[in-house]
Amino acid sequence: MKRNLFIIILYLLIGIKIQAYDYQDQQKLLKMSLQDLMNIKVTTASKVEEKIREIPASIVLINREEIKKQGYKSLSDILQNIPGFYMINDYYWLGSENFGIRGFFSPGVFNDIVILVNGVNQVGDSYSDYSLAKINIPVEAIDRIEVVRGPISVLYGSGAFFGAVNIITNNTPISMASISFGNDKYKKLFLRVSKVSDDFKFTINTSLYGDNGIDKSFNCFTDNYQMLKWAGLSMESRTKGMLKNDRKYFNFSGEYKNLHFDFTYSDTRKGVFDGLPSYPPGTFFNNRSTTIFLKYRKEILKNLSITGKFTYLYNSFFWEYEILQKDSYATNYNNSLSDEIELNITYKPNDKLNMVSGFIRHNIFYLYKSYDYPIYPLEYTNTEDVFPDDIISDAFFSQANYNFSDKLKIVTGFRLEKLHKYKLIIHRAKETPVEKDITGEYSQENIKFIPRFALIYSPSDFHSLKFLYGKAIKNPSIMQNISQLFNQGTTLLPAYIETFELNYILSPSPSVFANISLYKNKLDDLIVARNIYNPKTRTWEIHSTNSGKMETKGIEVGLTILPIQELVLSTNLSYQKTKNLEKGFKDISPGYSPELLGYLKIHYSFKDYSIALVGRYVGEMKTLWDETIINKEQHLVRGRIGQPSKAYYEIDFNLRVENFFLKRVYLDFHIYNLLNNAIVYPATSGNSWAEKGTYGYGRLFILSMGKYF
Amino acid sequence: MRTIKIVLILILIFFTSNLFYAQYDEYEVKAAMIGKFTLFVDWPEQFLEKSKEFNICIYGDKKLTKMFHRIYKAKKIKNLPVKITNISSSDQNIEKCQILYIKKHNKKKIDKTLKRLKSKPVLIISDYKSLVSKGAHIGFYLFENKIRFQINYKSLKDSKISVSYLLLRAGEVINQ
Repeated sequence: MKRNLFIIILYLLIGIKIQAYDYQDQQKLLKMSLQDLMNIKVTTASKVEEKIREIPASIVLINREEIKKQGYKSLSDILQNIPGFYMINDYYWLGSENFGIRGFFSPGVFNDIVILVNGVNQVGDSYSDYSLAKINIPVEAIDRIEVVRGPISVLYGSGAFFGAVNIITNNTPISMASISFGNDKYKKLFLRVSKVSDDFKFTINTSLYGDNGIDKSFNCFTDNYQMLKWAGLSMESRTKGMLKNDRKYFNFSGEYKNLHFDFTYSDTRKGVFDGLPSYPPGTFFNNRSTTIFLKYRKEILKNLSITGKFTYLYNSFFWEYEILQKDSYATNYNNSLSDEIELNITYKPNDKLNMVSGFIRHNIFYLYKSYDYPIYPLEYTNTEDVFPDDIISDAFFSQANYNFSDKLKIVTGFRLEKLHKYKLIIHRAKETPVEKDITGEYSQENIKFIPRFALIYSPSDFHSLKFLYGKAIKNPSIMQNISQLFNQGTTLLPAYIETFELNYILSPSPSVFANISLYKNKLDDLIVARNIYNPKTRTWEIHSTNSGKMETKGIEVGLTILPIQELVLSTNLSYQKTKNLEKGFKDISPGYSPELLGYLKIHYSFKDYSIALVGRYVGEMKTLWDETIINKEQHLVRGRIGQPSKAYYEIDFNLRVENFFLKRVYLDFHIYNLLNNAIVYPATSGNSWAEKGTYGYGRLFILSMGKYF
Repeated sequence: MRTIKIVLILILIFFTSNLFYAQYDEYEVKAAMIGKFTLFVDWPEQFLEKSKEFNICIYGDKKLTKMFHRIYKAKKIKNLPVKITNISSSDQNIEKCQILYIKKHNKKKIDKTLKRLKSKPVLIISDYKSLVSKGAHIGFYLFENKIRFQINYKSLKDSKISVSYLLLRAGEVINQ
């Protein structure tokens, strides 16, 4: 009897405590902001938790509605209008549609930010790049983009220098088809099918796209008549048709209960300039990639869950060169196959603490490169790069999110990353008198430690203050290491960034939203590649070292107001100052670093009509300072590789009409560069022959029509 | 022995209740979000002026109605005391609801209800995305175990319920 009484009392006390907790927690929910409620991981009967994202320095969310109303026509349109981002298109292969972020730009390949699509990392293994030409997503497929700015290597590993872009294409059950035409032979076909039931959903996005590229006279790019003549061109020769783009894209994304499957195929053929102006019909870069992704979540206990992910990546590049002469028969192939396994555990012991830890192994099990340039010296003919070992990197990360109170929370985390050593073999100039095998090995001795810390104070629904600190790393790419071996350079180390940021958000009413950010970035061990002319061999050699060092201080101010329901005004100004701290270069201001960036969006909607103006301003930019350049007098000197690019502004216009004569049919009229301003990007080392800079599009008209099903 | 039992009770109360404490239940969060929506939404003035209470009506789920009662007990929305009601489709008072939340439904009956409430200033919130395309104003769904919502902007405009652009930005907007 006493024993039974004891058990009854025990149950009652526990029951009362649980009830008391239940009510308190429900009341806590009412005090949270809508954004916080949307960030809560909930438990349901059948679903499980997965890893938590860190709270970023600043996050920009763009949904399907905004993409439609602003009239964005490509992923690069969207990225160009993110505060702090600016595009430089040098028409190099992987580096065209490259982006600088907060005053920092890496010429060559776009690899300062990680891009994910439906959770799948879009990295190219050979160059560690996130080329938009390879990612190739039609803008009509995008349901939502989250741009998380700030170093977040803790969760995303090497390359997340300035943050991550998460693109979601499988979230909204919309089916549609559309067709677009414009000048410069712009054309696009898009089809989307999406079905949702309670247990199963799928989305298919597919697209065909083409344009003819810009049509400019080569004398816009360079005054070097001798170089053009040597390249088989004249000052009056034009780029017409040489910078064409043809793209195909297919994606299937499906989810059944806890299992998620994603398949993507992307095919791009684009005209480029690869170090020299092309001979007609142009040099073309072809890229094909296939990605298969599987994810499964399982709830082990009520507060413990596990998620497993598997990714298979295939990437293939192929260049067809036309340089210096017609039918130059120069080619370049690059193929890679890799897989990635990730295992995450989420544990929430109580309502204050939330933890996620994970292990990731990325394995490149096939990598091959070959090139043959008969027009160049024998050393550059019939060469293969071979990697006999798998190239493996392992990482462990852990992140904790702790709520001190309703108003105060912290996020802290770290990542340990190790790139295992791998062999490199270059079979140079096979079957020629200068045939030679060069072998080497790349290894990093230490395990890299990457920390992150964030403190968020939200006194009410109307404002919050964030302090963030983080580090990120960027490993040298495999092809950078091969290049070092070829040129007998030193072993390259990872580059580092360390960021401090203070971010304040204010929303005193639903019609006003303001934010201000102050930040400081310290970049070290940056890989600097310089073209050095070797007078003995009379060739240019790329010499890379970890000598780069920079510091950036900046401020961003943004304001969005809705004076009336139909009208949205949004503006953002970014000012930054970057100092070059590289030894011997402290008096040389860094290239590709505009001090001022401005963005303005005006959108008005009335019944079925909406009109938008999107404007952006990019300040002046200098080019790279190099130790060995050839001036007009054909002498080797130190100096900038090209002329500074002038500040420019661009205004785009969009008119959209829903239910155009028929229900669910829309008409969209877009004008890029309404005022036809000259947009000139500063020359980069990839195409330094264009010392006057490379050109963006002039005024471009696009008419689109589509139907929702 | 007695001391051991007391210590055991205390341990069980203070530590195991943390184990039993679940993460936030999906419907608790949705209930809270519904309250937040009212900050970004305005009903026609004359519709609210006539009401003495702010009516949140739960369609066909008594357990959920009880939970809403607990959460919104003694609370106010738009300066009106909140009243939680469980209703069915045939209920005459359905048009007096400021918010109608649909969790479970019978397909035929709900189509009738949506038809009946078309262009009426009743904010219809559903757990089914499929209802949003049929005329419900907001539909919850889960994405990576977080709650998201769709908004049928045209249906909202037809009902003369005005919505803040900030809510439209937070959700996924579809037009019909």
